[in-house]
Amino acid sequence: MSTTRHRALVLAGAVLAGLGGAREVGAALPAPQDPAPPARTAATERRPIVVGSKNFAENRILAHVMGQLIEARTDHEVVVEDGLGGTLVVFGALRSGDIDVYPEYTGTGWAIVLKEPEAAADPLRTYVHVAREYARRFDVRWLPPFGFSNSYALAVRGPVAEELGLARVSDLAAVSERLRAGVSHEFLAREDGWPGVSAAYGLEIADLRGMEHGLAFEALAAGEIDLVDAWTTDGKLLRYDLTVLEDDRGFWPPYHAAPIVRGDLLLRAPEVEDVLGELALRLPDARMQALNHAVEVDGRAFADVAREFLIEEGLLDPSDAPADDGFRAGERRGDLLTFVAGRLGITGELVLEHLLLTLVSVLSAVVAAVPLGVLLARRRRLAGPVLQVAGVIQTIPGLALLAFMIPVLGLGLDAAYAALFLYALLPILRNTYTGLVEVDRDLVDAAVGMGLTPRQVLRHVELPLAARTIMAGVRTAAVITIGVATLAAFIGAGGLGEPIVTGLQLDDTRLVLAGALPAALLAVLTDLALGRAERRLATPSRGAPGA
Amino acid sequence: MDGGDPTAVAFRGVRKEFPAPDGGVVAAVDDVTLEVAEGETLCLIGTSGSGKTTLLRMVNRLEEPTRGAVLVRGEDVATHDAVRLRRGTGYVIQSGGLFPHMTVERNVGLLCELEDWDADSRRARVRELLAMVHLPPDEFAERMPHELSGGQRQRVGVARALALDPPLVLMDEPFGALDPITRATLRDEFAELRAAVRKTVVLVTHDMAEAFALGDRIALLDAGRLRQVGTAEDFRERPADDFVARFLAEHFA
Repeated sequence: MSTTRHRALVLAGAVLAGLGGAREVGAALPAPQDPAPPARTAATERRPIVVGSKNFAENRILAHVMGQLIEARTDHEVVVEDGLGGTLVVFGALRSGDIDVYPEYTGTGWAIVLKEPEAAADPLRTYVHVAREYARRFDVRWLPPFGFSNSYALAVRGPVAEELGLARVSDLAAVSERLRAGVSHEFLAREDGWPGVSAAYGLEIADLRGMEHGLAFEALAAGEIDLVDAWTTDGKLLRYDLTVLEDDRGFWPPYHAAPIVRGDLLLRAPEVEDVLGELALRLPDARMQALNHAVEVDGRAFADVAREFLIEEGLLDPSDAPADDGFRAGERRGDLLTFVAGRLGITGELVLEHLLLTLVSVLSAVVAAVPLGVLLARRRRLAGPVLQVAGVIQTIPGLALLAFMIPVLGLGLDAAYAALFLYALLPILRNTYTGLVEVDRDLVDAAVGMGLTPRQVLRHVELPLAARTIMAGVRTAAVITIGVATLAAFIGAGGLGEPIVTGLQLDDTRLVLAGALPAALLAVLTDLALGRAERRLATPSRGAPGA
Repeated sequence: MDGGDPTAVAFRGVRKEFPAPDGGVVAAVDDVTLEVAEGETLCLIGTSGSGKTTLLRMVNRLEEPTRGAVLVRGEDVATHDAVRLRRGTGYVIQSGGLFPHMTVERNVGLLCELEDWDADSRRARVRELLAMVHLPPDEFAERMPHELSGGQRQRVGVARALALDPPLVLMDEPFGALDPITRATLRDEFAELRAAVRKTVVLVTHDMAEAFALGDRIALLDAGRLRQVGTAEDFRERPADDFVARFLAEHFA
């Protein structure tokens, strides 16, 4: 369970309890693993060693490999927190002590964390440099590398490579105009992606489009495109008939993976250094590719793949009990029914997270937008400009809005709440304004003439009469928010987007559906429930509310 | 109200200007001086645009005069707290102005509710008022406005205006939207009611027959100016000028 999720659940519990009436739901929440009172054994306080990972298969496998090895070889308790997020999230977690160790890549450390201006070139120099700088600046130690380098590569459909005689990237220059390419958006934009490599090799591809990475492989298999970007250890390379082109001019910097650990862990548990050192150079490109294939294509669990690898290498005794699989998606083999049944608990948890994201965002939007709508109805000259600004926010694509929030609020829940709040704002604001403006002027006149104060007119006449329209706005906002909230997983805020994002990365349709279907169902149910509430508001109630 | 100033409402040189579409101003009410005695029913009559409704709305400060003053029981309304002034002044509008999301009982009892009456007194008062306007409380208290006929809605509107027993009631075309038969019935009931509860009433109408039937005195306005004030007999026997004579002829056909 990631810290984000943990926080979300505690919050969810608090909010549900605060709302009252939702006791059953609250009771169904797992008891929070309270980090406050640390488990005290015998004499010394012992925290478990936490192994983290980024949110893609290779990094997760490595986390399980390291976790199982430490567990088997030391007497420390180990927790694997895999799939935390992107580089900055995971590195942040390492620096804050939320995790103790995770697999990092030299090129990433060089460019993303250290922000070295010129490109990394020589593998050994790169490793030595990041190791020295991490130790000096962050008290983080790089241990010996696993052996493979996961760098960018270009891959061509097998028959096409054969027909055109393509083996190296430089071979592309002569035929590049005849190829159709589909590369990931990130690759299209990164300096060490298409712009760099096409300049270095003089490639000009007319039919070049950006697409989601998993989909690009499908398009390739269908013969829609000929050229994709890939990683040298990509498991999909084994699944599809692909020829990886050799980077014959050495354009791409080295991305050798290695365990990186907090300096204080090596004081607390010095044996970890030697234990992880045993993994050094045991994973050349082809080996890593095979492990990735086992997960991404064969659909096997991270922990199982890690365990088999350790056993094959003679690092783990087969008689040792297998470790718990920390991967939330669980066993991904088997028929759909087993798959769904196996995920019920996780799905429930994700639904709660998703509801919480939606609830908090929409409620805070109501709290902000209704008074603002009242103000606009009073000062109509403000209405045009303000509604326009809210309208502009609404047109920003969801992912972009989330991205804008990151520099301000960092990654995770806060940024997600802020973005979803902004999305929910417009429908509620516009409907509050419209609802109030459309209240029959004669009725307001009658109320004022009777001697109601402006506040009483608002409370007893205007708001009740606008309630249906306002509620329709809340309903729209809630349904939109449930949809957009699936994107929150991209910035590590959890929710039903999480299996969707993972599923896209793993090219696992069932996992995508495991997030998309509950999200769609949630949207439909919310729409129905709020629609019912809206109609009840429309029928004037007989019960006289208290004064 | 007894033994006080015999003048319930006084208009002193009242003028009300509104911005005109051409950027200038138009006077909806122009230099009107007029007094309404305690307990009297005064009908303001005129064609649409004559300024009669604007004049009425200045009494409970829904409009403020541009010049001149409106006095209620001898005091300039501009010095009154608007909310207190309005709660002491019943107000009935053409459509009844019932709040569609509230029952008849809550519509009628709303001001009592806002004045913090306890539930029992509120309920008793609502029943008393409904009976007064010939709506059996058991049958009507729980109805919603859309479950009432036009005449019933208007009766509820009158009951609501009387909730806090105001000495002064303002009525803006109270029977204007009703069919002729209902209108005649309500007019009779109004006369009856007025005899039972002694109130000062200022009533706006464009119907001369209604003004003659209900008004102790009648004030005829045209283009914001007061043309004649007097009893029905004064108007019939001694029209002030050609305009008044013509108005009577046209509206009494």
